[in-house]
This record gives sequence, C-alpha cells and structure tokens, in this order.
Amino acid sequence: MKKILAVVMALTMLFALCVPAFAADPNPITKDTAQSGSIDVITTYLPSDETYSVSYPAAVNVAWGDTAAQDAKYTVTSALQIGAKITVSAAENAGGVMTAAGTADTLTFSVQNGAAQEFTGANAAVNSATTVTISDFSGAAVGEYTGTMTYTVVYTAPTP
Amino acid sequence: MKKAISAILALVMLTVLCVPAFAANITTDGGTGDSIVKTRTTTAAGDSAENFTVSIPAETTIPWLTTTAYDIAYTVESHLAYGKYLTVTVADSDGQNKMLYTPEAGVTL
Amino acid sequence: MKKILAVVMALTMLFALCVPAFAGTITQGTPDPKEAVVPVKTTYSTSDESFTVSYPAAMEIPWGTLVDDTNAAFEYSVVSQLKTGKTITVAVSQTHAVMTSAASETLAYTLAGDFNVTTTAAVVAAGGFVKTVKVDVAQSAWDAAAINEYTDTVTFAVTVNAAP
Repeated sequence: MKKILAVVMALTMLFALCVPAFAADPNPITKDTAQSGSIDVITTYLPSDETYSVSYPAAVNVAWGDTAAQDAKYTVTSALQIGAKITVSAAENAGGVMTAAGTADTLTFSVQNGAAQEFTGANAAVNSATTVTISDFSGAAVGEYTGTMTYTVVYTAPTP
Repeated sequence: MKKAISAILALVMLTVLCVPAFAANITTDGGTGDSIVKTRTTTAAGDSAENFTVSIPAETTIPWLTTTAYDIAYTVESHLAYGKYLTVTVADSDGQNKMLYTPEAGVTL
Repeated sequence: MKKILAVVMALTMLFALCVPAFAGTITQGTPDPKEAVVPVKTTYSTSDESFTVSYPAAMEIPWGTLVDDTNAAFEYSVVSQLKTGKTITVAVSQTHAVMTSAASETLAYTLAGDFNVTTTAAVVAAGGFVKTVKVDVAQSAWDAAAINEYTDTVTFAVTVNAAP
C-alpha cells in the first residue's frame, strides 16, 4: 500500500511540473525571435468582493455634570471598487433633547464631527473624531436623561 | 493718589458694613446651623437706648394754716442699662428753707 | 512561546476594556436605510445632588424692635439640584424661650414668619426660595428689661425629603 501511494504521489508531482498549459501564442518565442515577451496580468472581481463595515457604539453615556466631549466615534473598514464610496454621518435626533421619567426637565446634547464624511477604496479601521457634548446640566433635576443620535451610511456606486 | 486710595478704601469698608450677615451655609442632609440672636443696646437710629424721665410739679400750692407735711409729688420713669440707677434729690433752692412774699401790684406792706 | 501568547492575549483583553462597546455594524448587507439609532444617556449617583441652605450667622436686633419692624426680619434661602421628586425642609427653632444677658437677666422672645418650610421642586435656582424669620419681642418685655445685650441661639435644621 505504501508503495502504491508513493508512486501516485510521484506521478502527481510530475504532472504538476507540466502545468501551466501555455495557450496558443501567435508570437512564440523561438530561436529566431526576440528572447522576451510580455503578457497582461489582469484581476477579475465580483460584486461580492466589495465590502465595507461601519461600527458604532452601543450607547454614549455621560456622567452627570461632565461637560467634556464624550467619545462617539465610528470606525470604517472598507474595500471598495474604484469610483465607489460610502458616506458616513452622525447626528443628534430631535435637536439633541434628552428627557427623563417623572420630570418635565430636559437636557440637550450636541454632536461634533458628525458631518458627512466620504470613504473610498481601502480603509483599515479608520476612526472618526465624532464626539457628544452636554454643555449645561443646570436647571434639571438629577437623573437619567436619554436622547438619541443616528449613524447613517450611504453607498454610492461608481458612475459608469 | 493717596487721597484717592483712602477714599476707595473707605468706600469698600462702608460697603462691607452694609452687607447682611448671610455668612453660613448648610449643605448636608440632616445638617444644622446655629445663628446667634442678640439685642443691641442702641435703637434702630443708632442712639443709646437708655432713657429716663423725672416728672416734677410746675408749682405746689399749700393751703394757708397747713401745718402738717404736704406732699410734693414727683415721678421717675427710667430705662437704663444694667447696674445703673437714678438719684433724685429735692432741696430748697437757696438752702434757707424760707418762702418769700412778693406783694401784688398796688399793695404796700 | 506559550508565555508570549499568554502575554499577548492578556494585553489584547486589556485593550479591549478600553475600547468603546461597539453595538453593531452597518455593512453592505444591512437593509436600507443603513441607519443605526444610538441612545445618549446621562449617568448619575447621589453624590451628584447638591443643595445649599444659607442662613444668617447672627440676628441682631436694635433695642425696642417690634416684630413688624424690618429690623426684626432675617432671610434664609435654599438653592438645590436634587433627583426628581426630592425636596428640602428647613426648620427654624429657638433654643430657649428667653434671651439671656451676661448678668443672667432674661428677655422673652418668640419666632414668627417662615420657620418650617419645604421647597416645592427638586431644582431651585438662586433667589427662587427665600424665606423670612422674625424675632418677636413684646413691647412689655422691652420695657421691663434693663438695657443690655441679651443672646440666645436659633437653630436651622435641614432635611432632604425622598421622592414620593
């Protein structure tokens, strides 16, 4: 059995040496022609080869009284075809108004660096500089206030 | 320059005097603070609160032939600081203990 | 090799703690519209609540002041930022029924005005809750007392009331 397997493997390796199958060439290199020739190396691709992903945070939490900018970045990873792009934006909803149960008091947050940003080609985990800020906590009873922001991704195919 | 600084300092000291004594705060649940309630010895106008009045009769008429002691009444009302008191002394003006007769007009003794 | 891998894994886990918790990802396969709504929330603790009750360090009244005189009135105030539903009660009380002088003489007095008050909201801005307590000495008490400096202590006590 071992001998049979050894022979089969030898033959397989032998045949592998015979590949590639050169296509019929109208200009073969012979002893009478130039000793070099050129061929085109072409990539092919499928639509499914184009990928992108935009990761965003589960929530943005702000400690009471903290008026500093809070991290709300999104991360872009992409492999887009030439001419294609994705546009990513982040913006507050309802003007950034935050409400809490049991009170009519409100807080307001704002989004910085959320304006639409275009990404083309390849991007490896590129972070945005998006932040969220609550600039004023006065006048509101202490509590858990909630508002929402929306991250939006728009894909634009290359123009033919 | 010195006069200007002196004037400014005087004004600052004056405004300090005008500031109400809102000097204490409580910031914890269950916290307490004590304020001293106290009386001044001056009135709202800033004058001493001490006063007294000794009321004496403008004149005393003694009926003729009265040989018993006749009261000359005077009253004392006082509000003085602790430990102070009034002394009222009544005495004959010239120390002679004599009354003089001044005849009416047209009368000759 | 194992030790190196262990260190690498430990560092990776450590850095993972520092990374914001990404909830999700929008990809080419995400159905349109490719949007994600993310909550923005405040977090808080009881230490974020604050209040200040300001009261006079001393309440001096000129001799002969009656309760309706402006000199008999003293203000105290509350500023607060508490959790929804909480309020503050300020109770003002006199320690003795009389003020006493250094010579142990006494001058009877009472308190009038706002000496047991409660705020109506968790948030009270400066100037939003100013109350007046008055020192009430009867005229007859003034008249009967030797002029002197009489003193007593008035206590301001603060209670934070829980939300109903």
